[in-house]
Amino acid sequence: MAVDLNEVKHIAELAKLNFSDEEYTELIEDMNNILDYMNKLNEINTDNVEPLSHPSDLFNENRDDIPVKGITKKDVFLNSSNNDENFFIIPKIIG
Amino acid sequence: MAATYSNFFSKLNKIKNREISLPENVEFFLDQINLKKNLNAFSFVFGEDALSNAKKIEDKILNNSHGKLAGLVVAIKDVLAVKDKPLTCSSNILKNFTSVYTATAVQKLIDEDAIIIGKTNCDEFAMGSSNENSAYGPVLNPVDATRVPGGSSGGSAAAVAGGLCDAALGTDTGGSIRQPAAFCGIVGLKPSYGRVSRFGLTAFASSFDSIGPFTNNITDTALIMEVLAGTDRKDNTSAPVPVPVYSDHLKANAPLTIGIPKEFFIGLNKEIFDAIYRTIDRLKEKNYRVVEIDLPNTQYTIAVYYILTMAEASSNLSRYDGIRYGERSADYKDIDELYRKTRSEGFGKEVKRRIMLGTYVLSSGYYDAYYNKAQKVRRLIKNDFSNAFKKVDVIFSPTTPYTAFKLGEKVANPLDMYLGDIYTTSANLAGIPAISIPVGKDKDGLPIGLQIMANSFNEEKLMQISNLILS
Repeated sequence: MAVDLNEVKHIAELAKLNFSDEEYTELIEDMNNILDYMNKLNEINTDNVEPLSHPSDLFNENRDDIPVKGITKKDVFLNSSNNDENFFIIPKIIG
Repeated sequence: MAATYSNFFSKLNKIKNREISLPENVEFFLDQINLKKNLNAFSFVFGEDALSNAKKIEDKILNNSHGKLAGLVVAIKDVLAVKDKPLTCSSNILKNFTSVYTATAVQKLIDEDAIIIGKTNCDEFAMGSSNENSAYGPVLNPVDATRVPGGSSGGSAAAVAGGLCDAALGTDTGGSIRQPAAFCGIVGLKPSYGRVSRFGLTAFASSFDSIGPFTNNITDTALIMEVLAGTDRKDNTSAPVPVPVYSDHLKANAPLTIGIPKEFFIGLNKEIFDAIYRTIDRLKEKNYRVVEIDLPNTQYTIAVYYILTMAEASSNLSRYDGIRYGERSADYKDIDELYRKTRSEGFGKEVKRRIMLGTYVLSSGYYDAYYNKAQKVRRLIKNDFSNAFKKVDVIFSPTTPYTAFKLGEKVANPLDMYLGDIYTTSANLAGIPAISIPVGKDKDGLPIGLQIMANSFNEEKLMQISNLILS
């Protein structure tokens, strides 16, 4: 299952990343080396094995709904590079 | 004034007896940080805060109204939030980020009067095994400055090993506490998954990430874990399992049964092999039973670990979009370009590589072949450990396949770098606790780490046997 330039460009689109042509060349080589190694998993029979998404045995841990003070509005905007202290400002997305 | 105490209790007594002045002790560490700037262990030093806290906490100690860790000088890996301080994860995308709250683990230390001296350098978003993937440059190993300290918590390990603080917090997703502890010759504990709250820890791979201490001795490990461990309403994966008084468990009672997984020793570097077997022989003399065990799926751990952590990372790191926080690219024409330029300019090479692979294994058409398959093998690996712990109390293995390598030696080959995590990733896959302790040096004087693993929430067994080995 080797990845080619078209596929890697599609993945970059999904991941919202840009790469130069040289970076793509290197990335394709690295990804194929790593994926080739990961194909090792095909050796092992996993019929009837349930996937494990989490090592914890906890299930639906509920807690009482007690309101506590959180962060302030000022805190919310503290680390944003473009805002008017009420909204985050982004380019227009609806025509 | 050098640090002339063997552990925290000895320090506390000396402060009480006025043999040590806590402000002078903090000044000593600040001087050392300055003198050893070349190590690049710290990204941010909180000198003024640390000194002013030292004065207040010394008064509390002398008035006998102090917390459990009063005067312990601690460094914090820069992936954990400390209110009003920078939190960069060693990434350009967060280079001007200031935390608006404090991580639970850090708050618990502060509540017990520990002194936070600064934040340590690490691999970007904790992704790396050498601390060479940092926007602040590499950390050097205090044992040999031509070599890496390990990663990703390399700054925390170098800070403790270099005598720049008493202890440090690190995080471990696949070995990022234990491997640098081994490379720098100190103690590093990765607790069970869910033992320490992850609230305020920047997520890398949420079903793997654990927070734990770097120390010079097990007494300090036990004491710090008594403070860190426990459930937290801000992290629903923090387990409601009672926290033992670890310090009371350090004396060996009945000898434990040690499991040796033969898969972990095949083709192992001879000096590391010999150092571990010397330790095992000493324990046999003390009537510890040693049995060979099977962990048959060990050969698949690296593939499973990297598929799953890259997938979780690609999802977790989608939050860095330049909108609500973090750096935003200066120049863009629409929202898509804003996202793509912001992320491409902000993330480093290894982080981008992992996001790409993680996105690939989660993408339509490959999800079953890679992600789902890896989750199934993760269950088999967890089952292997559950079966092993029916027969043994603890499992011994090397922490690393080699001692600290030279800076730059492995950067060109990412797969080769990943393969070095062969012994540490299984504990994170299974969610079990594991410790690395120093058990000797190789011919070049580089430290060798022994890894000890136990069943979930059995940290006290790790501390007990480690204490026996190190004393």
